[in-house]
Amino acid sequence: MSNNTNNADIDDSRLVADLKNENERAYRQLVDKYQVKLRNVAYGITLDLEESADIIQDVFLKAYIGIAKFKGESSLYTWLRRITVNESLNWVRKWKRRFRWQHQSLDQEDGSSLDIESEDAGPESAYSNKQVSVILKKGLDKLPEKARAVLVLKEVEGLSYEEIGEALGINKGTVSSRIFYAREKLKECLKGVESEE
Amino acid sequence: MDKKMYKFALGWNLFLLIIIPLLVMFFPETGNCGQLVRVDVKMIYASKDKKSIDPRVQDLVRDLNSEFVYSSYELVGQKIITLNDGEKSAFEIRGGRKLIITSKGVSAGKASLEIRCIKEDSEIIKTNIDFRKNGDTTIALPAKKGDKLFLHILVSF
Amino acid sequence: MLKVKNNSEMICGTELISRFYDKELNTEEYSDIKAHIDSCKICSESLAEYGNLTDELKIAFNEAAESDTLKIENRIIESIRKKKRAWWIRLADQVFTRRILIPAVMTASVAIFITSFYVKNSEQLPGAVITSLSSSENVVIVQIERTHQPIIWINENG
Repeated sequence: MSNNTNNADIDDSRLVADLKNENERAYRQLVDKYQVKLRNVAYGITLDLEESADIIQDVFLKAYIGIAKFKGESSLYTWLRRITVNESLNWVRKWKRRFRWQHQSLDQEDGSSLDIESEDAGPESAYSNKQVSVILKKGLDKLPEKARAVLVLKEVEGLSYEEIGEALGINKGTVSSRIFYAREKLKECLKGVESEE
Repeated sequence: MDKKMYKFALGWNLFLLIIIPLLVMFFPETGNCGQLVRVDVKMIYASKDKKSIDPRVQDLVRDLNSEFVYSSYELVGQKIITLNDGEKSAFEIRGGRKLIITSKGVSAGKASLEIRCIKEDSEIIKTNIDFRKNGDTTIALPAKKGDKLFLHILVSF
Repeated sequence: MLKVKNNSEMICGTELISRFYDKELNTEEYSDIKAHIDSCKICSESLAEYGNLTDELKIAFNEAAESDTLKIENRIIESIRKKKRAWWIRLADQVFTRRILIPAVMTASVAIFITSFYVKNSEQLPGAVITSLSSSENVVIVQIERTHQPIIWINENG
């Protein structure tokens, strides 16, 4: 792991220097490197594909504005991710009610729901997989965004409880209990799917 | 907010940085920055008998010596007075004479003073002089047997 | 950290399993819990479910993955270009930092101060102008060459 980190550090510091010089190619490199990961983080919290794209645009713009003050105390990615998490949480809090309302209105009588989220442009794999995905997302949507944020950072980004705590400004105990809570809730959702099959 | 404010603030600051020096350079001091006038009168006794120059008036003497031929100069008295607009002050000087200075006010960067010298109820001289800041003049009064009493008047406000 | 006894009730269905799954226990606790899980059906099922959930979440969240990557990249670069064009903002940002502005203002003030003195002194206007004079004696008015200072020379009669 140390080898990887070293390489990453070297790449990063050169990239940072180029970014501070407002080298456009460097920005393309940056976006190339981290866009997908950051969008996943944003998506995990907002559960909105379009919004994630918008948020990421803002994140990189903020990076451009703030790169001059970037001191390299954390890695570039950590910095970007922190901005992403904050922007995503802000968005969710802002549109929480409207967001929930949109989804609830799509509930159909038999309990399944037309999820406008599933603009799965990709090829539809097994039908059951898609069902799981849909149910899971419904469950995720029901979670408070704070629980979702810790779940994303744990399951998608693989951060430790301590790192998650730092990123969100909470202590390890809170991280642990939120993750546990989120998992239990989602487990119930998935159990629901199984019983239907 | 940011764009417009930045533009405005930047423009305004540049404007000030250019305008202020120009104003200071090209406009003389107008207005009455305090009508108090400070008059510093030095009485310098000049004679051809001795050869000594009072160090306290060395600078003044250098100028006087360019015109006159005295060999000794001595500071024998000094009076500093401050006058308001219209105020006057009188004091005695050597030879039974009296000096009366009246401030006629400050305007357009100049302090106007009326200076009178009186001996035994008769007026030796009366003059009105406009002084610029730190402007000066000297009145040379007769003294005994060929000596001279210089009254150096320095005005600031 | 909670003290762990090998008491099933204290472990089954609790946060501890979640922490175990995330490897967030210290060595002592870890071995204790592991021992319990190995012998507890409920807990090992919980663990499996967690693993399942992780897989599902990864699939669900990776949906953002490849869609529109290039389009978004271009949008980002375009918005950065737009920011660049606002040169006056960047200039203002630099000018208005404390490190530049305060010394600049101080320098300017000092320069103005000095200049004003110099300008005033170089004016060759007379320091004193006699506007009127009357005397009972003989009066001669002389001017010092260097400073143009007027000297009022009074000759005593007799």
